[in-house]
Amino acid sequence: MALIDLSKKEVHCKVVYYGPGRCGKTTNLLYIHKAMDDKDRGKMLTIDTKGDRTLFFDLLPLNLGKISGFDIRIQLYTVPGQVMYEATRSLVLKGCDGLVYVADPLKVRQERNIEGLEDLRRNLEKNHLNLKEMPIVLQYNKRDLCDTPVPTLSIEELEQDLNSQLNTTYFEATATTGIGVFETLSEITKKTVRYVAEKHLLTSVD
Amino acid sequence: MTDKDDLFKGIEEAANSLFDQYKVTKTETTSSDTTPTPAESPTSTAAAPPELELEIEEKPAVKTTPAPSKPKTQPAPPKPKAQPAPPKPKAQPAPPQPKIQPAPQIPEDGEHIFNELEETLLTIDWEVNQDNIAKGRDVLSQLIAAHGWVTTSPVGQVAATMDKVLASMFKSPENSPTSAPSQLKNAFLAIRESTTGSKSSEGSSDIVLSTALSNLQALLDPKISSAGFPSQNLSDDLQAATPVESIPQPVEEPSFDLGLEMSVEEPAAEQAFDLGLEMSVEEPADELSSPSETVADATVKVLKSYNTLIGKALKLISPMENLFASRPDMAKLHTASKRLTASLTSQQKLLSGTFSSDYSSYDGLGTLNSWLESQLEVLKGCVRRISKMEKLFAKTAGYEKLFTRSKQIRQTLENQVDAITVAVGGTPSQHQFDLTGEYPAVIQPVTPQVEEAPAAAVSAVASPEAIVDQCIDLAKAIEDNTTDSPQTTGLQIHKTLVKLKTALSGAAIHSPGAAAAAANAAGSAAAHNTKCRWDWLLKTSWGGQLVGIAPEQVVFESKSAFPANAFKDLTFFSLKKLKSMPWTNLQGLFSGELAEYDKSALSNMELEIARPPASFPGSSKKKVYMVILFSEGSGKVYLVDSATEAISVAEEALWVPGSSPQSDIAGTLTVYGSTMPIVSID
Repeated sequence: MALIDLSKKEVHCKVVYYGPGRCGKTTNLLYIHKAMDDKDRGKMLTIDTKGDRTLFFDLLPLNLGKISGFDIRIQLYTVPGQVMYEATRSLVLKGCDGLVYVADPLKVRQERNIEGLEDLRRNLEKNHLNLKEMPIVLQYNKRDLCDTPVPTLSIEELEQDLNSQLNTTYFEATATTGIGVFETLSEITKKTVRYVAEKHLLTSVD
Repeated sequence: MTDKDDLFKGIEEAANSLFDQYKVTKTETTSSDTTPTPAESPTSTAAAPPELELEIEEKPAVKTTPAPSKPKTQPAPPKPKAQPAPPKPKAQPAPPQPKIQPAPQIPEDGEHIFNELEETLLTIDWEVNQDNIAKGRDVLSQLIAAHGWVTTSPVGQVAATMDKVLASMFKSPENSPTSAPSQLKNAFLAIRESTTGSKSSEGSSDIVLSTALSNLQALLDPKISSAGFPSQNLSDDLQAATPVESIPQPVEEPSFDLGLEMSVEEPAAEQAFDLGLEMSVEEPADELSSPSETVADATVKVLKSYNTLIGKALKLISPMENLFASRPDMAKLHTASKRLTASLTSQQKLLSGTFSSDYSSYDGLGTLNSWLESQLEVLKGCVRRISKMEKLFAKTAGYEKLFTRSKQIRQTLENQVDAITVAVGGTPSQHQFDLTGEYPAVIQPVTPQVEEAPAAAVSAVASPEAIVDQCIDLAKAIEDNTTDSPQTTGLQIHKTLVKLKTALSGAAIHSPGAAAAAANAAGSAAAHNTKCRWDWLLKTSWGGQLVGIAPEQVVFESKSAFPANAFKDLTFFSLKKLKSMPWTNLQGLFSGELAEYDKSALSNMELEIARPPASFPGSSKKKVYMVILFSEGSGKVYLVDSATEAISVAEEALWVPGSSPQSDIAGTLTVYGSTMPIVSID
C-alpha cells in the first residue's frame, strides 16, 4: 500500500511496470528518466547487468507536486520479465498501488503476453491484491515494428488477449522513441493517485 | 481533503502539467471506449525528446524521433537487430548484413541452418530456459556438421565456444550471465560474416571472430566449463580445448559490448548504486571482468613502446657520455650519465629477457610482474635507508618535524611495498597492525637473555658523536642533492649538528634519548635485556601514560560501549556484555586464543579489569577503549584512553625488563625518544 506520512504530508505511490521479458519495461523507465527534468524526478536505481535485462528491479522516483497540500511522490518500478524470476516479481509487487502491463506485439510473444498477465494476477493474489481492483493501464509497446515485415499482433488481437476482461485503458507505444510513454505514465499516475486517495486518504479523513 | 471532486481535479491537473510537456507527438494512439486517452489530444512537446542511447542498435530509431516543429507520424523502423526478430527469419532480411551475397563456401542448406540458428538465439534472448538452449545447441551442431568446421579454424573455435557457453547456460539457466544471449548473437553474426565473406578483408573478419571468441570465453564460468558439461552434439575435435593464440586477439573492447553497457550507464553515472543493491545481485564474476587477453595486449603495447623509448634514450645518452668522459671537468656528469645508462640498460635487459626480440612470445603480464618485483626491490631499499634516517631523527632533539616527515614517507613507501607485494602474489609485511586482530604469528620468539654490563644500555645506541657525524654527512648529502627548501633544511641540519657536536665534545650527557635510557637503566642496573622481544608493538595511552602493548596477546579491541565511570567499581568484566544484540555471536568478536572458546564458555567468562599503576598520572577521559589481552588461558581487560597504534621497534631501542614478574608491566622501552612501559600478561 502507499506510504502516507501525514506529519510531512507526503504520499508515496508505487507503480509497477509488468510484462514478459524483453517487452520494454526498463526502456520505458529509461526514457522517462532521460526526458524529465532533474527537479521532477530522482535518481534512477537500476542494476548494472552488463547486458540489457533486468535481474532484480529498476526504480525511478518522480515528484508529482502538491495536491491539496500533499506532496505526491510516484515510485516507478519494473520487474524482471524472465519466467525464472517469479519470486522477484512477486516481491516487487508487494504494496504496489498501480500497474502498467507492457505487452510485446510480436506474434511469437502472444502466448507469453497472456502468460505474463496470468502471472501478474497470481502474484498479486500472493500479495493479497486483486487485479480487477487495482489501477492498471495496458501499453502495447514496439508499435514501430508494425511497419516492418515482422509478424505482429494487431490491436484487436492484443485487446482480445489481454483486455477483454480488464477492459481498461491502453496505449500504443514505442518506448525507444518515447511515443506513448508519458501518455501511459500520465494515465496510470492519475488512476493510482485517485485510487490511493480514495482508499486511504478520503476514508481516513472522513 | 474533504472535497473529492477538487482532489481529483487537482490530480488530473498535476499529472497533466507534469507529463504533457514530455509527451512525444503521436498520431495513432488509441484507447478504449470507456476512457478518454490523454494522448489523443494535441500534444505539446515543449522539448525535443531526449536522445536515448539505450543500445547501439536503437540509435537510428532515436534519430528519427520527431522534432516538435516537424513531427513525424511514424518512427523509422529499427534495424532488426534492435528489436526481437521475427520468428521466421527466412522471411526477413538478415539484420547485420542486409546486402549479404551468397558465399560460395556455404552449403545449400547452410543458409537455412544459419537462419534457424539466428531464430533460436533470439528465442534464447527472450527466454533463457533449457528447452530453448537445447534447441540452440542442436542447431549449432547441425551448422558445424554442415560446414565441417574443425577447431583449427577460427570459425570452428568460435562455434565450439558458443556450444560451451550454451552448455553452461543449459546446466544453470538461472545463473547464466545476463549478456550471454547478446554475446551469442554477436558470435553468430561474426561467424556468419566470416563464412559469407562479406567483410572487405580477411583481417577484419579475423578480428571480429577473435573479439567474439574472447567475449564468449569471458562468459564461461571456469567451474562450469571445467566440470565438463557433456557436449554430445559436437564432434570430438570441437570439444577439445580451443587455443586462443591461433587467431588474432582483439585490440580493444568490442563495440557491441560498449553499446550494451550504455543502456545502463546513465543511471550508474548518477551513482544510483550507492544503496548497495549491486551487491545483492549475484552476477557471475566472469562477466564483470574484461577478457584478460585484452588487458595483456594493452600491457604488451605499453611495454613495447617503453622498450623502444629506452633504446632511443640509450642512443642519445651514449655520445653524451663519451663527451663527458673526455672532459675532466665533467666527471660528475659522466658519473651521473653512467649510472643512468646502467639503469636503462638493466631495464632493457629485463624487457628483453621477458620476451623475445620479435615480441611474438611476449608475456605481457609476466613482464609486468618482473617490473613490479624490481620496483619492489627499489622501494624496499628506500624504506631501509629512510628508516635509518628516521631513527636518527627520532633520537636527536630538535628534529621532531623531520622525524614526523620521514616517518610519513616511510609509511607511504611501506604501503606501496605492500600493495606491490600483493600484486605480485606475495603477502604483505607484518609491520602493519591488522585491525581484525588476526595476527599471522607471534611476533618474535623471546630472545635469550643477554647478560651484559649496565653500560651496554647506553652503548647499545651508537656513540652520539658517531650519530652526529652521520647526520652531518646526511645533511651534506641533502644539500648536495636537493634544491630549494630541502636544501635550506639540509643547511640548517648541518649547522645545528655542528653546534651540537661542539657542545657534546665536553658534555657528560650524550643525547636526550640516551640520557633517559641511562636514567631508566640506572634503576635496574643488575640485569636487563638490551634487545626488545617485540619487533613491533601497539602504542596507546593507559591511565594518562603512554604505554606499549604486546600485540600477540590482544584478542579484542573496540571503543567501549560504556563510559569510564561504569567500570569504576567493577573488578571483573563479563564478556557477554560485549554483545551488542542478543543474537550477537561472541566468538566472532574475538581473535587469537579467545576465539577458540565456545559460545557458552565465552558467555560465562569474566576477566579481571586491569588498573593502571599508581605511578601513572591518571586519565580524565570519559570515553575509553577496551583492549582485552589473553594468553595461556588467562586474560585481562584494559581500559585505555585511545585506540592503539602500531609502531615498529627499532633495533637500537633500549629495553629494560620489569623488576616485578607479577606486574602487568613487562618492561620499559625507549624508542624514538620516548620511554614507555610495555604491558604484557605473560
